[in-house]
Amino acid sequence: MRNHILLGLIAIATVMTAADLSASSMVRGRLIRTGPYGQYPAAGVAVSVYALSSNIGRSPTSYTGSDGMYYIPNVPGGRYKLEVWVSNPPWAFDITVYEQQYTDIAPIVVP
Amino acid sequence: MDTSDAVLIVGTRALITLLPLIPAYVLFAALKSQARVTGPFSGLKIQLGGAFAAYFIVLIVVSQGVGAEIERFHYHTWKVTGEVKFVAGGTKPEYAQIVSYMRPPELPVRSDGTFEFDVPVKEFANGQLEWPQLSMEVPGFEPGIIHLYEPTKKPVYGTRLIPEDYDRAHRLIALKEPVVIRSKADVKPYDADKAEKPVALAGNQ
Repeated sequence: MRNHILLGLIAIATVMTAADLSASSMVRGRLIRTGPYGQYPAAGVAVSVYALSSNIGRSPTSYTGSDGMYYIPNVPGGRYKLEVWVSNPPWAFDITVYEQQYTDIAPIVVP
Repeated sequence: MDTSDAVLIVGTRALITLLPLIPAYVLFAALKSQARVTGPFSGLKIQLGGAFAAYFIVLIVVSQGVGAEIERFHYHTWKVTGEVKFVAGGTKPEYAQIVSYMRPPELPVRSDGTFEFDVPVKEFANGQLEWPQLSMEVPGFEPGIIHLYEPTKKPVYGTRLIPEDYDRAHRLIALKEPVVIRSKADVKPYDADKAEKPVALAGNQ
């Protein structure tokens, strides 16, 4: 009997862990700037997401790399405000994060 | 701390202890045991004479000088203001195109994959810390990103926290798991054309 309960708990824990992992996504996208010579990556810009469909608040900021790409891991599915800190208050965009490995956001041209 | 640091520290301490023996011997030979040291020192009443008194004086002077030299390895944050000017006959680039670097501190990763960085961290008057993000870039790979944090203030999402040993008193953070740098060939590539179009909200200007 005790073994059955133990196996049941392990099964529940396994299912919950798998559900938690599948429920979050890596949000990634690119920031670009436009200059006289064309477009170029916007490096070192702070980006965060702010939850609109739940009360989990704002994520820590992530910074774009030298290729202008930002990566925000472990974002649960739902609606968010994508915040690009090129000013204060930041530029804001409405995005939907899907429960899949990556949620790709199209490039954004920033000043 | 790597082996060369340990050798440096042990060597420095040995020098601090042994080097004053030379001038102490010279003083002892010249003054014929006339040197005397008496009075309070660090809460203790001391009374020394002869060569040992001279050795003690030189030891204190040398250790203070070397101690100040070791102290210079601490970092302080300075604010630097200025202006950049392009000199070009034709079209000038945008100022925002400039990517600035700061060296030192260097952030080298050793050939065995380990690293030990000195990281400047902003500290507010109330003791709150503002952590920088550490990024490691390799062509063809997703970046390795380290979000430093105080264990008591864990953010709940939007980051991948690496478990750490955190020692605020000594300003030490030891990551307990490796920073993962994943090949882009192993993951779904970023396709700008198929990506979700973000909807700009009012106020972006």
